[in-house]
Amino acid sequence: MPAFNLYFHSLRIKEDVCKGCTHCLRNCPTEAIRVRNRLAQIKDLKCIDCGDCVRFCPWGANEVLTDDLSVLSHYEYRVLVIPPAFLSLDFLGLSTSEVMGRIFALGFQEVYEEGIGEEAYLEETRRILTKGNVKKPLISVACPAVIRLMQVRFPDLLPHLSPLNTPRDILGATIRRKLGKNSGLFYLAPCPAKITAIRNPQGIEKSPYDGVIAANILYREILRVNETASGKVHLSGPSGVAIGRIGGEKEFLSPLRVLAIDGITNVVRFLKELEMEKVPALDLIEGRSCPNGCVGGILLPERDSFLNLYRLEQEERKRENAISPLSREDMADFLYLTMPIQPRPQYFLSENMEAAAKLLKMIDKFYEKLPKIDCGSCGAPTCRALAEDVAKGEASLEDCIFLQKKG
Amino acid sequence: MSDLLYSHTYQIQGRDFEHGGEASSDIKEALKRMGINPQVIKRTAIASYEAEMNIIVYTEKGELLLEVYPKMIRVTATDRGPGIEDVELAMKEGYSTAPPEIREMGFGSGMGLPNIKKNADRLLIESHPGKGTKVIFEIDIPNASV
Repeated sequence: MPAFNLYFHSLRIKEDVCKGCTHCLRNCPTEAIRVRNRLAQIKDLKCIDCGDCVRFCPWGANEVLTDDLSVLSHYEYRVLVIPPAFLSLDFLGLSTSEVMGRIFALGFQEVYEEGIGEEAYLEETRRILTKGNVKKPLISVACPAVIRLMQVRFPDLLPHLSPLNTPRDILGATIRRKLGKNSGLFYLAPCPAKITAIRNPQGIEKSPYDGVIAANILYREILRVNETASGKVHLSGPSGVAIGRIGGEKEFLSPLRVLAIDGITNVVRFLKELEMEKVPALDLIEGRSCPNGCVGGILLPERDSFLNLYRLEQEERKRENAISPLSREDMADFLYLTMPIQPRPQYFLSENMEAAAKLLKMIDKFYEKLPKIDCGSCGAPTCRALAEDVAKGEASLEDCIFLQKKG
Repeated sequence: MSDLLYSHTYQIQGRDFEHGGEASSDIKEALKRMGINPQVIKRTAIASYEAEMNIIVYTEKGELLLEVYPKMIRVTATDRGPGIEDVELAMKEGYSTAPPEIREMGFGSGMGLPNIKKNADRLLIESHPGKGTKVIFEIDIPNASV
């Protein structure tokens, strides 16, 4: 088994704030959290950085590891790639050009919108779905939490993953190639999954980005700085804006058969159906971990994804006739992933079928003794998860408060 | 066979369409955790699902017994339902005795047993009209999978 540090995560629990309640525990889609000694812990091998623990924590006890603007000082020339969801925020009345002016005042010389990469991504997706020999339904790689979910819980569905590079990295690699040595390329992340995707990329050797900044940090600085500077802005056309919301791929790949699913637990439910081949003939699955897509990212200062969605759609309309500054040809060298995306090893109980079967028998045995009400009081999300922890020697049956009462 | 690695019995409640498919989903999960070849898991899960739905559609109660051996998986579906009058006919694609209200729900299309046959390496059906049915199927695990 690989060392734990191979699995970088951008999520951390603040030990002084965590109350040891069970909100995050019950909402984690991969059962990656345990509460031990009144403190939540994240299991590295299971966590997919979706950020739902942050979304559901009433105490603000989960933090996200990100760069701050001080990293800019390492570079002479600084380029920022922003996700479309960022322009869906309410900047207290500032216009897009004022927002850009303030971003330049904060130390950037150029801003690109991630959607520019999405336009090439969509064009290529349409091409391989129409002509290519791909395993349908293809699953979009735009949301990194969905990729990691498949690595952790649905390893046998990995052949359905799109062979394409992500819109973020298609654009990033294209810009990187043009930049000099002393230039820094940064990504503005709307969610922890995208931070992790840059720090520990899947499917490519190395991320084209030199740093990643959480969207809420830049948002605060933009409102604070109160001065502007000039720089170069590259915005995308309407389809590039639409990647910020659920249904963007579906709309712009019409009439291909695209199913759009937002919310990580909904994605889990669907993938289970797909495993059993109980889904109709489809071309593409547009899965997004956050409600309403990236506009629901937990690093956006506005947590109401419906308001963000509304403003994003307004922005989309404004761009109706806008043309992307880069063409598919400009980005042609970076359209595909260069490495296979592998399953995470934790999924299997053991490398050896006999040992795994033995462990499974023990899990069944312990599970039979538990009340099967999934209360979470023992610190495991379900009775089944506690049974597995007990079988692996990581917990004890006495952790169950119902068994304690029986004495 | 004495080299049984794992076995588990899954109870199935007849007419419980809401939870229909849960037993086969649990079977699939167990096989996945054991690291068994995905192709084998898929075939077992699909065949188990059909067997489970047959119990739900046609009987009051039944069970699936999963047995895992080093070289094959065996699933035994047992019920005390009405039994199958003509097994040969029931094996024909599209042949169904399901009432219209079941068909309206999207079940009983006459693909159940044929689909089990398609996915299994061996299939045995023992049926006694009025007493119940036992469907046993086996799926081989290829050597040195992956």
